[in-house]
Amino acid sequence: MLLILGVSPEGAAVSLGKPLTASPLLSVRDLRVRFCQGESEVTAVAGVSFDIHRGECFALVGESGSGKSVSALSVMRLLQRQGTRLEGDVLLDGVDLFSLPEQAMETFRGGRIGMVFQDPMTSLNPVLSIGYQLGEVITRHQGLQGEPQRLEAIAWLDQVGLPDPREQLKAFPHQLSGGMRQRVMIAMALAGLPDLLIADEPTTALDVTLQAQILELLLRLQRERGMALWLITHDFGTVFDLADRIAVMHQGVLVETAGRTFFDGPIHPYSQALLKAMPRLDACFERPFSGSIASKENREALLSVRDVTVRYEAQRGLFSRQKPRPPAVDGVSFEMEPGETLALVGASGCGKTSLGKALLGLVPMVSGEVLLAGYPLSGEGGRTRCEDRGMLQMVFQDPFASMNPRMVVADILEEGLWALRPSMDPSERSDRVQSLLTAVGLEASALGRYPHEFSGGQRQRLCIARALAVEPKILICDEPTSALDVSVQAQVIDLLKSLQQRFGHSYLFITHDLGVVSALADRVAVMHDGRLVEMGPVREVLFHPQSPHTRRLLDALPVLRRGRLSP
Amino acid sequence: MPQLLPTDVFFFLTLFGLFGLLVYSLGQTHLRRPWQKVFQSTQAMVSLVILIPYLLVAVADSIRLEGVLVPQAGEGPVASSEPLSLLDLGLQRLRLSVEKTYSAPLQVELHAREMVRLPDGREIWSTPRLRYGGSHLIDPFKERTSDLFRRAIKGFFKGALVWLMLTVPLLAMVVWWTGDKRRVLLDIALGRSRFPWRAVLLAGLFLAMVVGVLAEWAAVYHVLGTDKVGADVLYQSLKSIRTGILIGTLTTVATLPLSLLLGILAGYFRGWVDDVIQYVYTTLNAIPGVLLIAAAMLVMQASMARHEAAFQSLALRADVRLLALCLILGLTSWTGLCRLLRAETLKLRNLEYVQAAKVLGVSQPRILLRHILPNVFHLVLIAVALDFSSLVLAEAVLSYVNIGVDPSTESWGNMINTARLEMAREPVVWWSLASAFCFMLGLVLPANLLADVLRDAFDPRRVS
Amino acid sequence: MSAYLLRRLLTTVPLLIGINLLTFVLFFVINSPEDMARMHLGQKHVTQEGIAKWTHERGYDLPLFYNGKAEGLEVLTKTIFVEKSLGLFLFRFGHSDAGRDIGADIRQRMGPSLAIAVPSLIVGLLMDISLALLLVFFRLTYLEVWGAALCIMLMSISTLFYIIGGQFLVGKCLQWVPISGYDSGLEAIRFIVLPVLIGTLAGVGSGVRWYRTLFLEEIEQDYVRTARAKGLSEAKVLTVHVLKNAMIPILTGVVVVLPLLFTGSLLTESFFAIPGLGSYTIDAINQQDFAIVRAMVFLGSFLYILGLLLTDISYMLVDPRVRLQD
Repeated sequence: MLLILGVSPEGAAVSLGKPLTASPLLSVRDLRVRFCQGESEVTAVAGVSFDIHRGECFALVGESGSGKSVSALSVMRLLQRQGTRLEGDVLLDGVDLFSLPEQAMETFRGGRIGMVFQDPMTSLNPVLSIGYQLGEVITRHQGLQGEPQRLEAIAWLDQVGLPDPREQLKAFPHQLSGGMRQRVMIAMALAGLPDLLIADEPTTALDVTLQAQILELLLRLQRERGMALWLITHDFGTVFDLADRIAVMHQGVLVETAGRTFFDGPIHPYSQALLKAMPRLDACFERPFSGSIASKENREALLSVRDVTVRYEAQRGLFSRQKPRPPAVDGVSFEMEPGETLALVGASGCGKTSLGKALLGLVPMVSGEVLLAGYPLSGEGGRTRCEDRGMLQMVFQDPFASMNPRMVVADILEEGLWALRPSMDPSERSDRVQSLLTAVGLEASALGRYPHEFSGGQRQRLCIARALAVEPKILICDEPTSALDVSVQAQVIDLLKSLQQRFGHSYLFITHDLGVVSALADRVAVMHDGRLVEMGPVREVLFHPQSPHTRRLLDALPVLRRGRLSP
Repeated sequence: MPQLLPTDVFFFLTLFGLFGLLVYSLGQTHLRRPWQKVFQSTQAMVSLVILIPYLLVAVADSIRLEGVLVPQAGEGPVASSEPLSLLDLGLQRLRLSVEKTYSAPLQVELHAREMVRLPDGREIWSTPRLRYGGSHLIDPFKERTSDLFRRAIKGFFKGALVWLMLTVPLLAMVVWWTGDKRRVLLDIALGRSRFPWRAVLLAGLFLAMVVGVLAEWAAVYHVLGTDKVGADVLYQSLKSIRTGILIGTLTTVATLPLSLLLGILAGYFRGWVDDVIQYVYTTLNAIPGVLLIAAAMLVMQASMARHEAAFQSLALRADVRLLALCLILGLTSWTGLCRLLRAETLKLRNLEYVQAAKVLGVSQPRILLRHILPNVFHLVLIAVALDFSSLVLAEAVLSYVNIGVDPSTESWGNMINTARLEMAREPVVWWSLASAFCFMLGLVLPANLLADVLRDAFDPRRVS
Repeated sequence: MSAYLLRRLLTTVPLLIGINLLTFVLFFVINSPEDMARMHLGQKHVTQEGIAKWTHERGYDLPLFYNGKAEGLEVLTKTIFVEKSLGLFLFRFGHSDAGRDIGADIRQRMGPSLAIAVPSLIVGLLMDISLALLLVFFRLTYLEVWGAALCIMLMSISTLFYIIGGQFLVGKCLQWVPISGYDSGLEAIRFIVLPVLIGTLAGVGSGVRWYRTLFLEEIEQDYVRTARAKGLSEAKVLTVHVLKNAMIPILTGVVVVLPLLFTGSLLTESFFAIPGLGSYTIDAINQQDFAIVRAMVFLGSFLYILGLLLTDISYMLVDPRVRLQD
């Protein structure tokens, strides 16, 4: 809620109106970045021009590979790769950064321009204390040593809202939580008293519930210090909460630059498509309600999960170095019906993925029972391995890791049939694979190619086809869209819906994104710390949440993506 | 009649195996990019130009014929008692022209002075003429330099001629293959072609000329001098090539099955399998390498002493010892690759495509074969390349400690070992050592350079 | 954490037992004492009495595991396994085949070994790390390309040549220091300089290459980019951020070999006639003295396992991620 107050229309007008008269703080003219390796040449940024004014928040939005991060890194002259060619003019307060000698540039880095990176886990030096890493910036750019430096560091940690900053100086990065680490990163970026702060996807690597807090902090600090903020993100939700001006980047060029009027109606078709593809919380009202769940209660459950507990045992081996952990899934029970879509949501680490893997037998269950169409999945009297493997299938999160890079698509798709239907006729097998490929919207010529020749979205389509090849009753989808770009995300969701209508299977859809849930699910189950805390029809759970954990997840959703807050 | 010693059999099997592996990996689509990188690297291809002759010498030295007629001084040709290799036959003159003792490279007299009885009966303290080296010269003090120079020029041109005879058809083929001949030839001349033709051809020319000069000299001189018993050092050095390459290849191949199998099993199955395998290799690793080899070699020697009757000839005995050394070296060096493969498999088994295969009901042997093995292949390749040169170097050290190859086997280690004692002599006898040094460097340096390129090309972590 | 250490300590027990069994099998089962005697007494003129005398004098004529002739507990203790193998656990090395007290020899020879090995390690480490840092600092320049090529060149030369060449050049031609030998007290320095120098030079190629790879791996990390974004100079990024992280693998790699320094370097000691454990081992191998080789195998393995333990401890001391785990 605080976020909405922060970006009241008046505030935006004030911060937008003032700097336009003065000369811009950062002026980028015709920036081009090319990576040359041997004879091949890749153009990452193809002539980008924009200005950032003092005190404003400028958001550069784009999908992966659009060149937005490369632009920021090249402004900082941090691109270290061999064969990088930079062209264009980058002026900070009239100083041409590209023609500065390296030594002079060092005083600009961290001093005039601060930068916050995506992943605070890897961006902090693991073997140096927080105090040292922060102190380094203060010494470098403010020239403070000893006690004054320490006090300054404490003041900064206090500013970014780290509890007990005096003690935290001695801490090492791994002792802090993800959100705290990102706060430290922000303190480090600001301790050099920069005029411009570049935030490169500052919340993407963080858990949903923490994202809002970090954005709020960035906004507060920007307002307090009157500095310019250059926000780089793929998420329009974040942009809506923070930005004064928005630029949309696509394949190395800016397709549109606008003020906050952008959200009233973007001009460029690409921006329109992007904005439209973003899954919103009220998406469930735009599709037909899938009937009353209550009336189905007398029907036989397809899958019933009873009191399942999963605990990752510490390796007991002589030479291992692991330690025991608390249960990942703690006594979860639910039922699924044929043809329905159940979304399993929760913050990261809540055990939703472990539950999915336990159902598939990828991780052992400590206790509990899983019945598939009335028969236990494992143990005596259960179905044969072959059969139940086929009935439950999975689509994984990372489309780049989920296919063997050494196999061609035909082999990948046929693998399940080879294993589960060994007696199948070869021509029938290839027919099935062909028709599946068409069903997921790919050409038949894909069969002879290797996974690396496909884009992320295409790979995810292949993974879906692979799983469907063995005619599963239930498809477990583990965050299948979270690694994809927004526009692709929407396509994959549509594909999943149409496939369900055609084949009639059920989905157990594991995700943290409530927008996606709303677009796809019939029912929602919310998990927290390994337990189910709430379960019900999608409209009920999303708009009349009972559990505080559900409410927290909902609150974390950016304003833009909430849509109508009540039905 | 061809005859095979045990190491010959294994050497050829290994060569075929490695060749098969190479062909297989060249055919794999996912390995095409790294191979392209290797083939386009000047460093790798020039190294290969130097390595291939080494390999040819080793192969020529592994094909043996029995009962070959050997010219004997004074008498007619006599059938040799020991089987001779093609290399021996090719270097018949070098092998048979044994002097009395030390002589310096390209010299016509013995190295040290001794009492010489003159035809008139007087005895003087002098360095006598060699029996073979430079024996065609009437007045060596006047003629030697010009003779050497003349022969060098001749060798130069002979080498260049051979090079031309090989290069012209090769280039013709390349041009025919690509069509546009003006551009192709210009690209090659300017070093712009993708395959580093210019560097390869120049290296080949250099090599051909050096070999030409050496061959021309070796026909009448001892190019690298003679050793204590008067044997030609160049011949020894060439014979040692087989030993070095054999140890480098046989050992790595001996380690492969063990480290592949155990490494992958340990990483994939974890649990007690992992415990047992880790226990085994930690135990083996704990014993200092040289000591384990020494212990194993001592035991092996003792058991060979017990079964002395089993070895009909000295050559067979030396050969079995060489084979045993390879196996023992392999036994002590499989742990490194095994550990590497285990770690990689641990990573792979948690990857989503392996999990997907499990969910699809794919059997475990099939997962290991189709999903794990092809994805650790690059590690095996890198390890084989890197181990080769260190094993060649290890042979020298082990021979010094007397736990290497049999003293009767020609090897650089044995050459160094016998020559180092002569460093204290006045004047210094340096040529044995220098030859061993040059020949070893000639093998190990290109091998290391090639391995460097292979690692850069195949290690995914280094692909930026 | 102490529980963890205790567990690591316990894992060394099966390792030591394994090594002991392995050496036992190697030296007494595969290879009977009779074979040893035959080897020592020469192949040709060996008589059955000669063998019996030789094995009896050295206590090799006992049964392997079970002595039927003895009484009471001696049934088990009066065997080769107990006397020759189990004794090693208590560092009772017994006598060499030539009749010398191995334990006393080892104690006496440790000093010279350490005198060579410790300075070699320190000088080599400093040299390797600083050269590697230099190469990394000048990365993507010709200096790096040629430096790396030089490293490959240096590591393609056998250690034997470094030693022989060094002795010849420094000892014989220049006559700065004696070629070989050893002295007690401060006089020893004269004899130590050359081996240390040669040891460093022989290891510099592979050492620099290895450390360079470590540094380059660290340089790819995100935190290095952060450090640069803070405005730190390249030198500072390397010497503080990169070095400190790379120190973890470097130090743990060094700690493993620390205990093994006691056993000295085989080649160096033998060439320079240093009366340390390395030359002791080589002499034993040359004289085919099984008792000494067996003792050294066990000692070496024991020290290696000690090194593994120390590595675990050093991880805790160096890496805050391990040290401050709760």
